[in-house]
Amino acid sequence: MTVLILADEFDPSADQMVLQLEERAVPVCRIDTAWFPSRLSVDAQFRGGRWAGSLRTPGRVVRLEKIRSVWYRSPTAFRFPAALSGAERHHAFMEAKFGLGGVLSSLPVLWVNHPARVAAAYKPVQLATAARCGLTVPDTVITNEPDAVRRFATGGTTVTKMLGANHIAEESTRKITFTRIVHEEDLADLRGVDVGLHQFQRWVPKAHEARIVAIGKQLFGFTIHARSARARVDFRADYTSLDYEPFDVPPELAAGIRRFLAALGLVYGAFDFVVSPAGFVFLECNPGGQYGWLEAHTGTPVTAALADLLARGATS
Amino acid sequence: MRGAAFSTDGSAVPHGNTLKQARRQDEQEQTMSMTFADGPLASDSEQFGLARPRDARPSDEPPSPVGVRPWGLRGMIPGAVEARVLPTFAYCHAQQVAVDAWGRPLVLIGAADPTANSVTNGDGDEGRSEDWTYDFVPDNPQPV
Repeated sequence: MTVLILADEFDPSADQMVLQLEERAVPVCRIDTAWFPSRLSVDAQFRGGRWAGSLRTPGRVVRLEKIRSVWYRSPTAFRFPAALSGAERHHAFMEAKFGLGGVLSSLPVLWVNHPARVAAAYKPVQLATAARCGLTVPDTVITNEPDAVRRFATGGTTVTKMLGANHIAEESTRKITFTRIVHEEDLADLRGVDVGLHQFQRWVPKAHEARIVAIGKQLFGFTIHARSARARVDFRADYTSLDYEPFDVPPELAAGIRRFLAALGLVYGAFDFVVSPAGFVFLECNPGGQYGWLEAHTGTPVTAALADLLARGATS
Repeated sequence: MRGAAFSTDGSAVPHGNTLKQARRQDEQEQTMSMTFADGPLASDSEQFGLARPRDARPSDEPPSPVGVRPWGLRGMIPGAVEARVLPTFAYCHAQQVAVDAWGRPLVLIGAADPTANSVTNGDGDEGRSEDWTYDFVPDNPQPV
């Protein structure tokens, strides 16, 4: 029985996983969907109530019925011949997605995480779910009304953050933004707020931040202490100023996290919290969030735990 | 093939407003009632989202004028994303890992250490993870 890893060709965490599974003598097949169709072919037949057949790459042939678990780790878009027109390319892309994606996502195996669950990344859904699960969430406004922004900002220090990707590609480069505090000069010119939806949150006083990596039933907590001003607002803004320590997740918090995972059908999640004087405040859960850099800094065996889960093919 | 078929082994969605209610539901609800995958938020395409290719070229379009451009984009900083230079590598289908010119796995020679470079992307110090949740080619990619 094989562990299937769907990942980009350059992914150090996926590399580590391949090595760990091989150490355990667990068959593993790694595929990037970008290989389709030039380096990945599909022969799938529906029989006996499920899809059977094979995926063939330059290095492996994996039988669909022999897959025990799938790690859905950000595989990249299919690549079709450059000669295709735009319409043809889109057609080919969608046929491949519904065909290969459909066959794979129907497999009755352990998924970490099932791709349909990635939609759990919708932040407003996360906040509502987290609150229902007993986690503390910050006051939040989502609006395209400038007056609503001003009203919310009168209530205290306010930050703004993206609802989705914090990147944009323009002017032949890629740009990035982080969570930032809304200052008076920002409020003085809100032109463009009405163009789209924006998220504003009450600033939560923080002693430090924490990332908790959930792998099945296991939780790995890491404190993140920032030594620079910009990293104290958003730790992603300055990794050079960060210190990490593992910590034991308090039982009450762990229970809330497990409810959250169950509610959204997730097996894996990277949870970010502010640790305030009043306790842990939920910011978000990335269903594909990174853990490798925390493992490298602290020595916590996260990869091993995930390897065990994938090898087991079940959360219990 | 949606919904509960892909359940974890946890309990169902707690719908109460309090921790006490949530705990009670933990105890009482042993059957899954997850409906999110059937919900309206995830398009068909998005239910098998695929990431941006590593070598995809950024758009050369300039920003729109103030008032047209979404306010939230004012904090965008150019150049911070791709500053991390990936090591020269090839993918080895036999070993199933990225390797250097001599066929050595990068992770074993320290060339792909997740902490090797502090310049990063959206999540963690390991490279571009932001596209995980965003489908590179959605159902209807044309502007509407």
